[in-house]
Amino acid sequence: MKTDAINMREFERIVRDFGPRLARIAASYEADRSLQEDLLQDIMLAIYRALPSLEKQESLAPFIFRIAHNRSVSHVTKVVGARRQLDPHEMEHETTTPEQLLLAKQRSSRLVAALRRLPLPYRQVMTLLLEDLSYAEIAEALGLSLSNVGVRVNRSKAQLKAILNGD
Amino acid sequence: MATDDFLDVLRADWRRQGVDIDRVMRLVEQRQQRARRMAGMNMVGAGVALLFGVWFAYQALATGDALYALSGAALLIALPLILAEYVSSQKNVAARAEDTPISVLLHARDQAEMSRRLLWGCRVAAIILLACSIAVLGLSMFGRTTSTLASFLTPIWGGTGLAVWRWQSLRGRRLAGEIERCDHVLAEFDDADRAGSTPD
Repeated sequence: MKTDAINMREFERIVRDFGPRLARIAASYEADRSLQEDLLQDIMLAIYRALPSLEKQESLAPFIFRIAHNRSVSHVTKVVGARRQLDPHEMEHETTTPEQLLLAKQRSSRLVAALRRLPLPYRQVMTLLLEDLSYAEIAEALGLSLSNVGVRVNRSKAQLKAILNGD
Repeated sequence: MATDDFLDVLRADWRRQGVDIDRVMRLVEQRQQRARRMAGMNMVGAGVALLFGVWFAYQALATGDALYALSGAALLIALPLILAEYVSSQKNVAARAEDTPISVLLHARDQAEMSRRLLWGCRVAAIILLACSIAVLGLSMFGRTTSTLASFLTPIWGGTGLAVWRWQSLRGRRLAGEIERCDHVLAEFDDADRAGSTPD
């Protein structure tokens, strides 16, 4: 019972600290809003169940993101939703407006749409890089070597640039 | 450096996405409660069906009535076969600290393959239910039973048999799709790993 109470407090702290970041990860895998929310809930439940296996607090970020990406990968294989058929024109659906705030939001949506078009190995590395994880933390989260992370970062940047430039 | 500027701009765009975390937390709690309730209801349902099956079997032995024997067979043979695949499909494996994306994909693929193999049990169960339904209809038509229970069992078992057959057919297609998607994503990781061994 005491362990459950401690786990719940720890879990709530993790949700506050990592929640927005996990939501961004979920958005990079799923375009449908309601499925995105389902995925985010899946991720949080998976983190709660895995908390007892966390060995070092210093490895919390790689641990959390590893679970997030693994759960998202599982989601991609299981869920056949509206997002499944990638819409090559998804990024062209935005209309421009003179409002700066709306423009910023559109750029954000455009980036997420571009990330969804990256192959999963490059998408995972890029989203963790955008979340300010170091190469070492990315390697730990994804079970990769540092050199492999470096190569994937370079390739994901190149592919992302090409997608954003409309290539 | 140009690439750093590129990432800095992307980070700013990336972090503009917002989420109502309090709402998500409430949904997570509700989901946990719902899952506990469903698990409880499923266990009660399976327990009740099992008790009825045992009772029917006992009545069949005590009275020699074919109707009770068919009822017992339907519940004690068909039900476990359906439940086996259902339990397999509900398995929500806890995330393990040592999992990698590839191990998750391989495990998902293995689980989908196992579920697909277990579907034979559902096909057998559907056939048993349909056969029992036809048998009860035959007993009624030839006057071998006058029980009013027979008039309920024929459509219930027949309908359930058809529903189970349709369900396993749809599930088989979904599982084939899952396996295909696993293979596709595994190929992406394989390409990335091969590319990783030849640095830019």
